[in-house]
Amino acid sequence: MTDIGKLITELSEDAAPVKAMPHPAVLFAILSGVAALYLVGLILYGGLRPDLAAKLMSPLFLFEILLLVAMIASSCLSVAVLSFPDMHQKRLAAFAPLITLALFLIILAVEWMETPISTPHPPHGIQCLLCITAYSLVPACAIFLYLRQTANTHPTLAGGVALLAASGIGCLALRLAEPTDSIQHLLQWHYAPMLVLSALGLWLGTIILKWKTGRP
Amino acid sequence: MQQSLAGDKNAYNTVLTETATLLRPYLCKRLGDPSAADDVLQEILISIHKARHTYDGTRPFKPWLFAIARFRLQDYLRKYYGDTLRFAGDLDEIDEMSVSHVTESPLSYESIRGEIDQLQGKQPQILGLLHNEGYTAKEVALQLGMQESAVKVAAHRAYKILRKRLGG
Repeated sequence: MTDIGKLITELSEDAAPVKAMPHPAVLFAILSGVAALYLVGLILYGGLRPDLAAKLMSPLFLFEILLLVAMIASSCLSVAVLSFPDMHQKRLAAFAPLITLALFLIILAVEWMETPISTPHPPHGIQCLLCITAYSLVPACAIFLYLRQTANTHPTLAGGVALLAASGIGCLALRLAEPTDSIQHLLQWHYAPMLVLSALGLWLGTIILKWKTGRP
Repeated sequence: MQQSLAGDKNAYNTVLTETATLLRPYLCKRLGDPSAADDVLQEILISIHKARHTYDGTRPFKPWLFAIARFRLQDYLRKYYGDTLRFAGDLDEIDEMSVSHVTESPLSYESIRGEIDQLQGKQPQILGLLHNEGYTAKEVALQLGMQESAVKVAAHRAYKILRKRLGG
């Protein structure tokens, strides 16, 4: 018997019944639900800005928040689909976060143009970056640990999307808590770090989500 | 595959055996070295075993299978090029390592001419015009008085037969 033949016999002997992973729609619901619960926890911890109800009347602020939510949701969808080697044959869903991210950047550009230069900057800066990073740690670890149990064949994309989701949750929690209207501050200390963390995820994915070689 | 997920060992054995038969010529074509193809095939079969919980039987099997096969093949090629570059003594050794060396197919039209001539109907003529003369499917269709889609279907069927005969 050839080596391949022997391997096939060995693997067949090891063929215990296996429970198939849920459909990506179910995985998306679970991931989004957990993300929502975590966000609620962060809001309970960090509080909400006192003028939130008034700010939500502003279309630009409302779109910013909605697009952040859409970005997190589309990242959860992408993670769900990327859990399968063939992306469950729903390739477009894996790239959905790129669309929401592009729309989000457009809204930021519009806010940049609309916000007066005289808008006061908050006195803090790096504290926001550290806060977002700290908020992102738990969801980032959770998503990476989850993806390691799956059969992802796009580790770069998966890593980037994982950290986009995690840092997006951190940014959203802080945006709802921090009473700042300075777009310069937001771009420098909130959203630029979010993009940097996502880029870091592209690299981390290739390391953390590598498949092991050799027999089980 | 669905039966194998339920724990049917004979069904699983059949799936893995047919998978090996399907993948071996694909890997030989891309690697040009049967022993390297066997190494990669072993990794793919192990990966299929570890990842079988991600296939539920409700969608086509081949895209799932080839997604894993392509991924493991890329891993192998990345490692192969990385090791060759790392251990090359001088530039001459790197020069010898070209993409064509690794991926060059041992098969050419001339090398399998005998097998092609044994095909039925217009298949030998179609393959000759496509691969020996270099015509497009449209040009072959015009020459033979066929529809372009019929030429493509005939060629596809011929490749399937040749794959079976040559891949074994």
